[in-house]
Amino acid sequence: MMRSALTCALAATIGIASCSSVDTEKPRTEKPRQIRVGAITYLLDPAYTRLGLPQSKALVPEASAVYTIDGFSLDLLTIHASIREGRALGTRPFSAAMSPNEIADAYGALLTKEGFIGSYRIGKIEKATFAGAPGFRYEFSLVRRGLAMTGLGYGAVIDKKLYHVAYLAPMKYSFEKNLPLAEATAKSFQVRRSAKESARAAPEEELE
Amino acid sequence: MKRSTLQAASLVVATLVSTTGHGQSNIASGFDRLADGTKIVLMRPSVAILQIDASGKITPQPDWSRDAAGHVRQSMLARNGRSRVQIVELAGDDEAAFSDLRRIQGAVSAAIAYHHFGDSKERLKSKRGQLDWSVGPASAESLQKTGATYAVFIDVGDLRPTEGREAIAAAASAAAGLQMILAIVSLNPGLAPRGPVPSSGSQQYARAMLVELKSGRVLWASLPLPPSSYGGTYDFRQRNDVDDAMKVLFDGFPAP
Repeated sequence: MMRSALTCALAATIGIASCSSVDTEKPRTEKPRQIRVGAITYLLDPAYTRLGLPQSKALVPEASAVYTIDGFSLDLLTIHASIREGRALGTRPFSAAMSPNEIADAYGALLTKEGFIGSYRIGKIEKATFAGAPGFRYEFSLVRRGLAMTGLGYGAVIDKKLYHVAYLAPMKYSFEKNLPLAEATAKSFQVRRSAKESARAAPEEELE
Repeated sequence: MKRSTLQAASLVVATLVSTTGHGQSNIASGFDRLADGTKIVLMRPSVAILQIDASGKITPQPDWSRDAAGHVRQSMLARNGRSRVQIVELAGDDEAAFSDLRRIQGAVSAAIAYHHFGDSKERLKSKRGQLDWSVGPASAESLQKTGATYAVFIDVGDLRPTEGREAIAAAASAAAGLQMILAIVSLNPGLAPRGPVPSSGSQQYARAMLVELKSGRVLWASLPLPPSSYGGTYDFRQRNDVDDAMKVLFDGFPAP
Protein backbone atom coordinates (compact mmCIF):
# COMPACT_ATOMS: atom_id res chain seq x y z
CA MET A 1 0.00 0.00 0.00
CA MET A 2 2.75 2.40 1.06
CA ARG A 3 4.88 1.34 -1.88
CA SER A 4 2.04 1.94 -4.24
CA ALA A 5 1.32 5.28 -2.63
CA LEU A 6 4.90 6.33 -3.08
CA THR A 7 4.86 5.21 -6.67
CA CYS A 8 1.74 7.21 -7.25
CA ALA A 9 3.20 10.07 -5.39
CA LEU A 10 6.22 10.37 -7.55
CA ALA A 11 4.14 10.43 -10.63
CA ALA A 12 1.73 12.79 -8.98
CA THR A 13 4.45 15.15 -8.01
CA ILE A 14 5.74 15.01 -11.51
CA GLY A 15 2.32 15.95 -12.66
CA ILE A 16 2.29 18.98 -10.45
CA ALA A 17 3.45 20.83 -13.45
CA SER A 18 6.41 21.36 -15.46
CA CYS A 19 8.99 23.63 -16.68
CA SER A 20 12.50 23.95 -15.91
CA SER A 21 15.62 25.63 -15.12
CA VAL A 22 16.88 28.10 -17.59
CA ASP A 23 20.53 27.95 -16.82
CA THR A 24 21.61 31.00 -18.62
CA GLU A 25 23.66 30.02 -21.63
CA LYS A 26 26.51 28.35 -19.83
CA PRO A 27 29.22 27.29 -22.21
CA ARG A 28 29.23 23.53 -22.58
CA THR A 29 32.78 22.36 -22.59
CA GLU A 30 32.35 18.72 -21.69
CA LYS A 31 31.84 16.23 -24.48
CA PRO A 32 28.87 13.86 -24.51
CA ARG A 33 29.49 10.54 -22.82
CA GLN A 34 28.96 7.32 -24.68
CA ILE A 35 26.60 5.13 -22.71
CA ARG A 36 25.92 1.43 -23.08
CA VAL A 37 22.81 -0.16 -21.60
CA GLY A 38 22.73 -3.81 -22.58
CA ALA A 39 22.68 -4.07 -26.36
CA ILE A 40 22.40 -0.37 -27.07
CA THR A 41 24.78 2.55 -27.06
CA TYR A 42 24.10 6.26 -27.28
CA LEU A 43 25.69 9.61 -26.60
CA LEU A 44 24.51 11.52 -23.59
CA ASP A 45 25.23 15.12 -22.72
CA PRO A 46 26.95 15.44 -19.32
CA ALA A 47 24.10 17.67 -18.19
CA TYR A 48 21.86 14.61 -17.89
CA THR A 49 21.39 12.67 -14.66
CA ARG A 50 19.95 9.17 -14.67
CA LEU A 51 17.09 8.74 -12.24
CA GLY A 52 17.30 5.80 -9.87
CA LEU A 53 15.27 2.68 -10.55
CA PRO A 54 12.39 3.15 -8.12
CA GLN A 55 11.81 6.68 -9.36
CA SER A 56 12.20 5.99 -13.04
CA LYS A 57 9.91 2.95 -12.91
CA ALA A 58 7.29 5.00 -11.14
CA LEU A 59 7.50 7.81 -13.66
CA VAL A 60 7.80 5.82 -16.86
CA PRO A 61 7.02 2.12 -16.44
CA GLU A 62 9.11 -0.39 -18.39
CA ALA A 63 11.80 2.19 -19.18
CA SER A 64 15.39 0.99 -19.55
CA ALA A 65 16.66 4.38 -18.46
CA VAL A 66 15.16 7.76 -17.58
CA TYR A 67 17.25 10.93 -17.56
CA THR A 68 16.60 14.50 -16.56
CA ILE A 69 18.50 17.77 -16.72
CA ASP A 70 16.42 20.02 -14.50
CA GLY A 71 14.47 17.57 -12.40
CA PHE A 72 12.01 14.70 -12.43
CA SER A 73 9.09 17.08 -12.30
CA LEU A 74 10.37 19.04 -15.29
CA ASP A 75 12.06 17.34 -18.24
CA LEU A 76 12.43 13.64 -19.01
CA LEU A 77 14.39 11.70 -21.58
CA THR A 78 13.13 8.11 -21.58
CA ILE A 79 14.63 5.08 -23.23
CA HIS A 80 12.90 1.78 -23.88
CA ALA A 81 15.23 -0.80 -25.34
CA SER A 82 14.94 -4.41 -26.47
CA ILE A 83 11.22 -4.65 -25.73
CA ARG A 84 10.38 -8.18 -26.83
CA GLU A 85 7.14 -9.36 -28.34
CA GLY A 86 4.54 -10.13 -25.73
CA ARG A 87 6.02 -7.80 -23.12
CA ALA A 88 3.51 -5.39 -21.65
CA LEU A 89 3.67 -1.97 -23.20
CA GLY A 90 1.03 0.33 -21.79
CA THR A 91 -2.34 -1.33 -22.09
CA ARG A 92 -1.33 -4.12 -24.47
CA PRO A 93 1.52 -6.50 -25.16
CA PHE A 94 4.10 -5.35 -27.67
CA SER A 95 3.99 -6.94 -31.11
CA ALA A 96 6.54 -6.40 -33.86
CA ALA A 97 3.62 -5.88 -36.21
CA MET A 98 2.47 -2.74 -34.37
CA SER A 99 2.35 0.40 -36.48
CA PRO A 100 4.21 3.58 -35.46
CA ASN A 101 0.87 5.06 -34.45
CA GLU A 102 0.11 2.09 -32.21
CA ILE A 103 3.55 2.30 -30.60
CA ALA A 104 3.11 6.03 -30.00
CA ASP A 105 -0.28 5.24 -28.49
CA ALA A 106 1.27 2.60 -26.25
CA TYR A 107 3.87 5.09 -25.02
CA GLY A 108 1.06 7.48 -24.16
CA ALA A 109 -0.66 4.69 -22.25
CA LEU A 110 2.54 4.11 -20.29
CA LEU A 111 2.81 7.77 -19.35
CA THR A 112 -0.82 8.05 -18.36
CA LYS A 113 -0.89 4.69 -16.54
CA GLU A 114 -0.90 6.24 -13.11
CA GLY A 115 -3.61 8.70 -13.97
CA PHE A 116 -1.68 11.90 -13.42
CA ILE A 117 -1.40 12.90 -17.03
CA GLY A 118 -4.20 13.54 -19.43
CA SER A 119 -5.05 14.73 -22.90
CA TYR A 120 -2.29 12.71 -24.57
CA ARG A 121 -2.35 13.50 -28.27
CA ILE A 122 -0.15 12.30 -31.05
CA GLY A 123 0.86 14.93 -33.58
CA LYS A 124 2.85 14.50 -36.75
CA ILE A 125 4.27 11.02 -37.40
CA GLU A 126 6.85 10.51 -40.12
CA LYS A 127 9.34 7.94 -41.30
CA ALA A 128 12.81 8.40 -39.88
CA THR A 129 15.97 6.42 -39.48
CA PHE A 130 16.48 5.41 -35.89
CA ALA A 131 19.31 3.28 -34.52
CA GLY A 132 20.47 2.77 -38.08
CA ALA A 133 17.19 1.15 -39.07
CA PRO A 134 13.98 2.30 -40.73
CA GLY A 135 11.86 3.74 -37.98
CA PHE A 136 9.66 6.70 -37.20
CA ARG A 137 9.65 10.07 -35.50
CA TYR A 138 6.55 11.54 -33.89
CA GLU A 139 5.44 14.53 -31.89
CA PHE A 140 3.04 14.40 -29.01
CA SER A 141 1.49 16.63 -26.42
CA LEU A 142 -0.17 16.13 -23.08
CA VAL A 143 -1.38 18.02 -20.06
CA ARG A 144 0.09 17.52 -16.62
CA ARG A 145 -2.02 19.10 -13.94
CA GLY A 146 -3.14 21.80 -16.30
CA LEU A 147 0.27 22.57 -17.75
CA ALA A 148 0.84 21.96 -21.44
CA MET A 149 3.72 19.63 -22.17
CA THR A 150 5.14 18.62 -25.47
CA GLY A 151 7.24 15.70 -26.58
CA LEU A 152 9.19 14.08 -29.34
CA GLY A 153 9.68 10.36 -29.84
CA TYR A 154 11.82 8.15 -32.07
CA GLY A 155 11.25 4.44 -32.48
CA ALA A 156 12.15 1.41 -34.55
CA VAL A 157 11.48 -2.31 -34.45
CA ILE A 158 14.74 -4.19 -34.95
CA ASP A 159 14.89 -7.99 -34.91
CA LYS A 160 11.32 -7.98 -33.56
CA LYS A 161 12.34 -5.85 -30.59
CA LEU A 162 11.24 -2.30 -29.95
CA TYR A 163 13.70 0.53 -29.39
CA HIS A 164 12.24 3.89 -28.42
CA VAL A 165 13.50 7.23 -27.16
CA ALA A 166 11.24 10.08 -26.10
CA TYR A 167 11.76 13.55 -24.74
CA LEU A 168 9.12 15.36 -22.74
CA ALA A 169 9.14 18.89 -21.30
CA PRO A 170 6.87 21.86 -20.74
CA MET A 171 5.88 23.50 -23.97
CA LYS A 172 6.94 26.97 -22.95
CA TYR A 173 10.66 27.57 -23.40
CA SER A 174 12.11 24.57 -21.61
CA PHE A 175 11.16 22.16 -24.39
CA GLU A 176 13.15 24.13 -26.93
CA LYS A 177 15.99 24.62 -24.49
CA ASN A 178 16.81 20.97 -23.98
CA LEU A 179 15.60 19.70 -27.37
CA PRO A 180 19.02 19.74 -29.11
CA LEU A 181 20.52 17.56 -26.36
CA ALA A 182 17.62 15.11 -26.52
CA GLU A 183 17.78 14.90 -30.31
CA ALA A 184 21.53 14.37 -30.22
CA THR A 185 20.99 11.36 -27.98
CA ALA A 186 18.23 9.98 -30.20
CA LYS A 187 20.34 10.37 -33.32
CA SER A 188 23.35 8.66 -31.74
CA PHE A 189 21.34 5.56 -30.79
CA GLN A 190 22.89 2.30 -31.96
CA VAL A 191 21.86 -1.32 -31.48
CA ARG A 192 24.37 -4.15 -31.48
CA ARG A 193 22.30 -6.63 -33.39
CA SER A 194 24.47 -9.60 -32.55
CA ALA A 195 24.29 -8.95 -28.84
CA LYS A 196 22.41 -11.60 -26.97
CA GLU A 197 21.78 -9.68 -23.83
CA SER A 198 18.69 -7.65 -23.21
CA ALA A 199 18.92 -4.06 -22.13
CA ARG A 200 16.16 -4.58 -19.64
CA ALA A 201 17.26 -3.29 -16.24
CA ALA A 202 20.85 -3.55 -17.36
CA PRO A 203 23.36 -1.44 -15.50
CA GLU A 204 24.51 1.63 -17.32
CA GLU A 205 28.11 1.55 -18.39
CA GLU A 206 30.08 4.51 -19.55
CA LEU A 207 32.36 3.80 -22.50
CA GLU A 208 35.55 5.58 -23.34
CA MET B 1 -7.54 7.01 -9.13
CA LYS B 2 -9.29 9.63 -7.08
CA ARG B 3 -7.91 13.12 -7.07
CA SER B 4 -7.75 13.20 -3.28
CA THR B 5 -5.68 10.01 -3.27
CA LEU B 6 -3.32 11.50 -5.80
CA GLN B 7 -3.02 14.65 -3.76
CA ALA B 8 -2.32 12.64 -0.65
CA ALA B 9 0.20 10.48 -2.43
CA SER B 10 2.08 13.47 -3.76
CA LEU B 11 2.01 14.88 -0.26
CA VAL B 12 3.77 11.76 1.03
CA VAL B 13 6.65 12.20 -1.38
CA ALA B 14 6.73 15.94 -0.93
CA THR B 15 6.98 15.39 2.80
CA LEU B 16 9.65 12.74 2.48
CA VAL B 17 11.80 14.96 0.35
CA SER B 18 11.17 17.93 2.55
CA THR B 19 12.50 16.31 5.67
CA THR B 20 15.85 15.09 4.45
CA GLY B 21 19.02 16.41 2.96
CA HIS B 22 20.21 19.52 4.69
CA GLY B 23 23.59 21.08 4.15
CA GLN B 24 22.85 22.35 0.67
CA SER B 25 23.06 26.08 -0.02
CA ASN B 26 19.63 27.60 -0.39
CA ILE B 27 20.85 30.76 -2.11
CA ALA B 28 21.68 31.02 -5.81
CA SER B 29 25.29 31.47 -6.76
CA GLY B 30 26.28 35.13 -7.09
CA PHE B 31 23.34 36.42 -5.09
CA ASP B 32 23.82 37.84 -1.63
CA ARG B 33 20.78 39.66 -0.37
CA LEU B 34 18.00 42.04 -1.36
CA ALA B 35 18.51 45.80 -1.39
CA ASP B 36 16.81 48.10 1.08
CA GLY B 37 13.22 48.91 0.11
CA THR B 38 12.96 46.10 -2.46
CA LYS B 39 9.40 45.54 -3.62
CA ILE B 40 8.32 41.89 -3.61
CA VAL B 41 5.05 40.57 -4.98
CA LEU B 42 3.52 37.85 -2.80
CA MET B 43 1.82 35.28 -4.99
CA ARG B 44 -1.36 33.84 -3.53
CA PRO B 45 -0.20 30.99 -1.25
CA SER B 46 -0.97 27.54 -2.58
CA VAL B 47 -2.36 25.49 0.31
CA ALA B 48 -3.88 22.01 0.13
CA ILE B 49 -5.18 20.49 3.34
CA LEU B 50 -6.57 16.96 3.22
CA GLN B 51 -7.93 14.75 5.94
CA ILE B 52 -7.39 11.01 6.41
CA ASP B 53 -9.86 9.01 8.51
CA ALA B 54 -9.50 5.76 10.44
CA SER B 55 -10.29 3.70 7.34
CA GLY B 56 -7.65 5.50 5.29
CA LYS B 57 -10.15 7.50 3.27
CA ILE B 58 -8.77 10.87 2.24
CA THR B 59 -10.94 13.92 1.81
CA PRO B 60 -9.87 17.36 0.55
CA GLN B 61 -10.74 20.16 2.96
CA PRO B 62 -11.29 23.26 0.82
CA ASP B 63 -12.52 25.41 3.69
CA TRP B 64 -9.48 24.64 5.80
CA SER B 65 -7.24 25.18 2.80
CA ARG B 66 -8.78 28.56 2.05
CA ASP B 67 -8.54 29.67 5.68
CA ALA B 68 -4.93 28.48 5.91
CA ALA B 69 -4.01 30.32 2.72
CA GLY B 70 -5.54 33.43 4.27
CA HIS B 71 -3.46 32.98 7.42
CA VAL B 72 -0.27 32.54 5.41
CA ARG B 73 -1.06 35.65 3.39
CA GLN B 74 -1.81 37.73 6.49
CA SER B 75 1.26 36.45 8.25
CA MET B 76 3.41 37.52 5.31
CA LEU B 77 1.77 40.93 4.91
CA ALA B 78 2.22 41.56 8.63
CA ARG B 79 5.95 41.55 7.96
CA ASN B 80 5.61 44.82 6.09
CA GLY B 81 5.97 46.90 9.21
CA ARG B 82 8.87 44.89 10.50
CA SER B 83 11.13 44.34 7.53
CA ARG B 84 13.05 46.52 5.10
CA VAL B 85 11.34 45.05 2.05
CA GLN B 86 7.89 45.95 0.81
CA ILE B 87 5.49 43.07 0.19
CA VAL B 88 2.67 43.73 -2.28
CA GLU B 89 -0.06 41.56 -3.78
CA LEU B 90 -1.63 41.23 -7.18
CA ALA B 91 -4.88 43.10 -7.58
CA GLY B 92 -8.17 41.23 -7.75
CA ASP B 93 -8.28 38.42 -10.28
CA ASP B 94 -4.89 39.19 -11.80
CA GLU B 95 -3.55 36.06 -10.15
CA ALA B 96 -5.58 33.92 -12.55
CA ALA B 97 -3.47 35.21 -15.43
CA PHE B 98 -0.47 33.57 -13.84
CA SER B 99 -1.83 30.05 -13.45
CA ASP B 100 0.80 28.65 -15.84
CA LEU B 101 3.53 30.37 -13.88
CA ARG B 102 2.12 28.84 -10.70
CA ARG B 103 2.21 25.34 -12.19
CA ILE B 104 5.72 25.85 -13.47
CA GLN B 105 6.82 27.16 -10.11
CA GLY B 106 5.21 24.14 -8.42
CA ALA B 107 7.24 21.79 -10.60
CA VAL B 108 10.43 23.74 -10.00
CA SER B 109 9.72 23.70 -6.27
CA ALA B 110 9.22 19.90 -6.36
CA ALA B 111 12.47 19.46 -8.32
CA ILE B 112 14.41 21.58 -5.84
CA ALA B 113 12.95 19.70 -2.87
CA TYR B 114 13.72 16.33 -4.40
CA HIS B 115 17.05 16.89 -6.12
CA HIS B 116 18.62 19.74 -4.14
CA PHE B 117 17.43 19.19 -0.57
CA GLY B 118 16.50 15.50 -0.83
CA ASP B 119 18.65 12.39 -0.82
CA SER B 120 22.19 13.23 -1.92
CA LYS B 121 22.01 10.37 -4.46
CA GLU B 122 19.42 12.36 -6.38
CA ARG B 123 21.59 15.44 -7.03
CA LEU B 124 21.60 16.68 -10.62
CA LYS B 125 24.85 16.84 -12.57
CA SER B 126 23.67 19.96 -14.38
CA LYS B 127 23.36 21.89 -11.11
CA ARG B 128 26.79 21.08 -9.70
CA GLY B 129 25.44 21.40 -6.17
CA GLN B 130 24.15 24.92 -6.78
CA LEU B 131 20.64 26.25 -6.36
CA ASP B 132 20.35 26.80 -10.10
CA TRP B 133 16.75 26.76 -11.21
CA SER B 134 14.45 29.18 -12.96
CA VAL B 135 10.77 29.49 -13.67
CA GLY B 136 11.69 31.13 -16.97
CA PRO B 137 12.00 34.81 -17.80
CA ALA B 138 8.95 34.81 -20.03
CA SER B 139 6.85 33.39 -17.22
CA ALA B 140 7.89 35.80 -14.53
CA GLU B 141 8.56 38.99 -16.49
CA SER B 142 4.92 39.97 -16.79
CA LEU B 143 4.70 40.28 -13.02
CA GLN B 144 6.95 43.31 -13.22
CA LYS B 145 3.90 45.43 -14.01
CA THR B 146 3.24 45.35 -10.26
CA GLY B 147 6.35 47.46 -9.85
CA ALA B 148 7.98 44.60 -7.99
CA THR B 149 11.32 43.16 -8.95
CA TYR B 150 10.94 39.87 -7.11
CA ALA B 151 8.17 37.40 -6.26
CA VAL B 152 7.69 35.10 -3.31
CA PHE B 153 5.86 31.79 -3.73
CA ILE B 154 4.64 29.69 -0.83
CA ASP B 155 3.35 26.10 -1.12
CA VAL B 156 1.85 24.14 1.74
CA GLY B 157 0.54 20.59 1.81
CA ASP B 158 -0.98 19.04 4.91
CA LEU B 159 -2.56 15.62 5.44
CA ARG B 160 -4.32 15.68 8.78
CA PRO B 161 -5.67 12.63 10.60
CA THR B 162 -9.17 12.65 12.02
CA GLU B 163 -9.51 12.33 15.80
CA GLY B 164 -10.59 8.72 15.31
CA ARG B 165 -7.46 7.89 13.34
CA GLU B 166 -5.26 9.63 15.87
CA ALA B 167 -6.86 7.65 18.69
CA ILE B 168 -6.27 4.35 16.88
CA ALA B 169 -2.67 5.29 16.13
CA ALA B 170 -2.08 6.36 19.74
CA ALA B 171 -3.58 3.13 21.09
CA ALA B 172 -1.56 1.01 18.65
CA SER B 173 1.60 2.90 19.54
CA ALA B 174 0.98 2.44 23.27
CA ALA B 175 0.29 -1.27 22.79
CA ALA B 176 3.45 -1.68 20.72
CA GLY B 177 5.40 0.12 23.42
CA LEU B 178 4.08 -2.22 26.09
CA GLN B 179 4.88 -5.24 23.94
CA MET B 180 8.42 -3.99 23.43
CA ILE B 181 8.92 -3.44 27.17
CA LEU B 182 7.60 -6.93 27.80
CA ALA B 183 9.97 -8.36 25.18
CA ILE B 184 12.95 -6.60 26.75
CA VAL B 185 12.05 -7.46 30.35
CA SER B 186 11.40 -11.11 29.50
CA LEU B 187 14.43 -11.26 27.15
CA ASN B 188 12.05 -12.80 24.65
CA PRO B 189 12.27 -11.05 21.27
CA GLY B 190 9.32 -13.09 20.11
CA LEU B 191 7.11 -10.86 22.20
CA ALA B 192 8.21 -7.73 20.33
CA PRO B 193 5.52 -6.13 18.12
CA ARG B 194 5.41 -7.58 14.63
CA GLY B 195 5.01 -5.40 11.59
CA PRO B 196 4.64 -1.67 11.38
CA VAL B 197 2.65 0.16 13.99
CA PRO B 198 -0.24 2.05 12.40
CA SER B 199 0.64 5.72 12.15
CA SER B 200 -1.67 8.69 12.34
CA GLY B 201 -0.91 9.28 8.66
CA SER B 202 -0.01 12.89 9.32
CA GLN B 203 2.17 14.37 6.58
CA GLN B 204 3.14 17.94 5.95
CA TYR B 205 5.40 20.14 3.89
CA ALA B 206 5.83 23.86 3.39
CA ARG B 207 8.11 25.50 0.88
CA ALA B 208 8.88 29.06 -0.11
CA MET B 209 10.99 30.52 -2.89
CA LEU B 210 12.16 33.94 -4.03
CA VAL B 211 12.22 34.56 -7.78
CA GLU B 212 13.83 37.42 -9.66
CA LEU B 213 11.18 38.61 -12.11
CA LYS B 214 13.54 39.91 -14.76
CA SER B 215 15.34 36.60 -15.23
CA GLY B 216 12.98 34.08 -13.63
CA ARG B 217 15.89 32.79 -11.53
CA VAL B 218 15.18 31.20 -8.19
CA LEU B 219 17.42 33.19 -5.87
CA TRP B 220 16.44 31.62 -2.59
CA ALA B 221 14.51 28.54 -1.52
CA SER B 222 13.45 27.72 2.01
CA LEU B 223 15.11 24.82 3.75
CA PRO B 224 12.89 21.84 4.52
CA LEU B 225 10.45 22.74 7.29
CA PRO B 226 11.50 21.04 10.54
CA PRO B 227 8.95 19.85 13.11
CA SER B 228 7.28 22.56 15.17
CA SER B 229 8.70 23.62 18.51
CA TYR B 230 6.52 21.07 20.29
CA GLY B 231 7.74 18.30 18.01
CA GLY B 232 4.67 17.81 15.86
CA THR B 233 3.36 19.27 12.64
CA TYR B 234 2.06 22.80 12.30
CA ASP B 235 -1.67 23.36 12.27
CA PHE B 236 -2.07 25.72 9.34
CA ARG B 237 -5.69 26.29 10.32
CA GLN B 238 -4.41 28.27 13.29
CA ARG B 239 -2.93 31.71 12.74
CA ASN B 240 -0.44 31.31 15.60
CA ASP B 241 0.92 28.09 14.11
CA VAL B 242 1.14 29.73 10.70
CA ASP B 243 3.12 32.62 12.18
CA ASP B 244 5.49 30.11 13.80
CA ALA B 245 5.84 28.11 10.58
CA MET B 246 6.50 31.23 8.47
CA LYS B 247 9.11 32.39 10.96
CA VAL B 248 10.97 29.08 10.62
CA LEU B 249 10.44 28.88 6.86
CA PHE B 250 11.81 32.38 6.26
CA ASP B 251 14.70 32.00 8.66
CA GLY B 252 17.69 32.83 6.48
CA PHE B 253 15.63 34.77 3.93
CA PRO B 254 18.08 37.15 2.24
CA ALA B 255 16.45 40.32 3.58
CA PRO B 256 18.48 43.58 3.53
